[in-house]
Amino acid sequence: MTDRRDVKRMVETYLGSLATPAGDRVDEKVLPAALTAMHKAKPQMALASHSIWRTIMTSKTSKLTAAAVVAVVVLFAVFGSLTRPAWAIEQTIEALKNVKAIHIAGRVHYPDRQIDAAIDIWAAASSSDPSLSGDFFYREGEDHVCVASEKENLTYVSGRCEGPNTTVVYITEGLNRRGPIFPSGDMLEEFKKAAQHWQEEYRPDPATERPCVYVTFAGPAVNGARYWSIQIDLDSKLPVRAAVWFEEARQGPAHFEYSGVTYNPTLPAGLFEFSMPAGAQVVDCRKIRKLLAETPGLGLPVDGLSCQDACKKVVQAYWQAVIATDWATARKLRPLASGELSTLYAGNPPVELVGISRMNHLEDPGTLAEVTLVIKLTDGTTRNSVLNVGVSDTTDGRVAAIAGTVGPELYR
Amino acid sequence: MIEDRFLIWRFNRGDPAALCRIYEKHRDGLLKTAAALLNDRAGIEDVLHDVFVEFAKSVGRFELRGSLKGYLAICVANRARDLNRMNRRRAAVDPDEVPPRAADGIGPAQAAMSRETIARLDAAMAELPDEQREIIVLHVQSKLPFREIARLREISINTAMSRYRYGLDKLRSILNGELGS
Repeated sequence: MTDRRDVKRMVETYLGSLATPAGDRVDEKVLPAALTAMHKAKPQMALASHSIWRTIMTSKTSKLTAAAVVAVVVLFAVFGSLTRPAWAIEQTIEALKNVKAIHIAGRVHYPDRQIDAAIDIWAAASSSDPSLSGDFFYREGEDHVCVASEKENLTYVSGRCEGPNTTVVYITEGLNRRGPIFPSGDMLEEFKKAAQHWQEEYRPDPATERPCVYVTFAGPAVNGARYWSIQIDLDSKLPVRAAVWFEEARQGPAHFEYSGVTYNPTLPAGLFEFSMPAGAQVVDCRKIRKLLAETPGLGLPVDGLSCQDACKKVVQAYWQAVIATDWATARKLRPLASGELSTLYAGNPPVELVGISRMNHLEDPGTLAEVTLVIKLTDGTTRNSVLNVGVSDTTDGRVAAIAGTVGPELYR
Repeated sequence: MIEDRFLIWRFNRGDPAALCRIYEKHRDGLLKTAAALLNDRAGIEDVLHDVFVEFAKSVGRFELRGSLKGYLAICVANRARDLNRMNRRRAAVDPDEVPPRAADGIGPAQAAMSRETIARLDAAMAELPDEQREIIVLHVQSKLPFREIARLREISINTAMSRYRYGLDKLRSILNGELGS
């Protein structure tokens, strides 16, 4: 045995073969005891608040003051109940439990790229865990599609890479882009937990006149946008609209706006079967990740670096090697390349990495990172290139490697 | 992860079904973790019992930071460490005393691993310092990322990874007979 990987494989096999007691036997021993402990712990919580109340109520003045306060509170409560329908987030969480599928239509707006596109989302609850999305379909504009299939256990992300003018489809194992905003109550609960400045405003929907509560808060960020507004229908208790803005003022087009929400719709046949666009370049992300996990010494160690820094480091190292015609190092950093790397740049070899102009899909589990860079060639002209970079945690630490290019090797 | 947060939310409101679901969801993985960390496997059920009873007592005030799986796995590791300290460490393992392997889920690789190899690994794992053994089990068996182990153990990620590597190197040494075992 020469390698840590061999030892790890042996340990995996060994751990997988360890015998454990029968589940039923353990259940009989553990569950009743745990439930009893939970049951006993609950009244103690109630007792603690009760004893505080008893302490306050020991003096006569306290009793009179408390009585007055209670009367005022009751009056406010009765008056409030007449003007404002009672709603609590728990009701929405409960109502969302009956949602097994969802369709959402809306819009996305990227102010920096001046993109404003329609979005279409379909999601079905996971068969094994109804609180999570299983099958998932997302379309943004004409080009960007994501399909996650629970049956296949694969996620396809298809999009147009504008520079090289290439449609690229990324395939990853597992369901990597889970659900839209609404499908489960726990998602809403997560939002509530993370929310700041939570405010509720009760007013009817201007179009339908149905009573609604409008909840605004600063919460989980979507591409940096974090100022949310969610409209909840008070009859159904279900969200009917949501939007998130970059600015707290919530003016102008929202970054994402989910407006047409249908709960438990009939799902179109074949919706979650990915259809490969004609002429698309397929990037199977599993290949580079598997190769890095199984072959020591490939790629570049990037322990402790962010994904962005890791991508930058491996791209710079690769081009340094190419420019120095150190093909052995270049091959190590780009292990999936077919054929000789030197032939890729024959005729007008690169002489300088001018710079990195853009990084896309960083930290995106459904794709590889795309690093767009500018290269200067021997004849003084410059070309662009989009490199796919994979970053993996392996037995020997975090490693980054180049999986290939999106589109041609170099383009104008 | 999100499901766990929701379950914790329900658990904190005293929903017994949430506790049952948490238990069902994590039971098998935690049993394996306990089996891998205990020197005396008779204590597996006790470890799970103690961990879940303590967890149940935290109803209404349990705060989840990170993953529930990671939290429970660390609780199992802590309890297993306590029990190991109480019991004497096994000096050696007789191959005949190795518990029978689980009938289900044995792949070709496991089938190919001899009882003698398993016994040697068993003994080699027991030889490892607790902190190295824990990190190997938590990373390989419980599939916890080093980052999370480091956070839960309040050590740096480099320390976690170093312990893991030292642990694997020591196992290799023991299995190669470089250290007397």
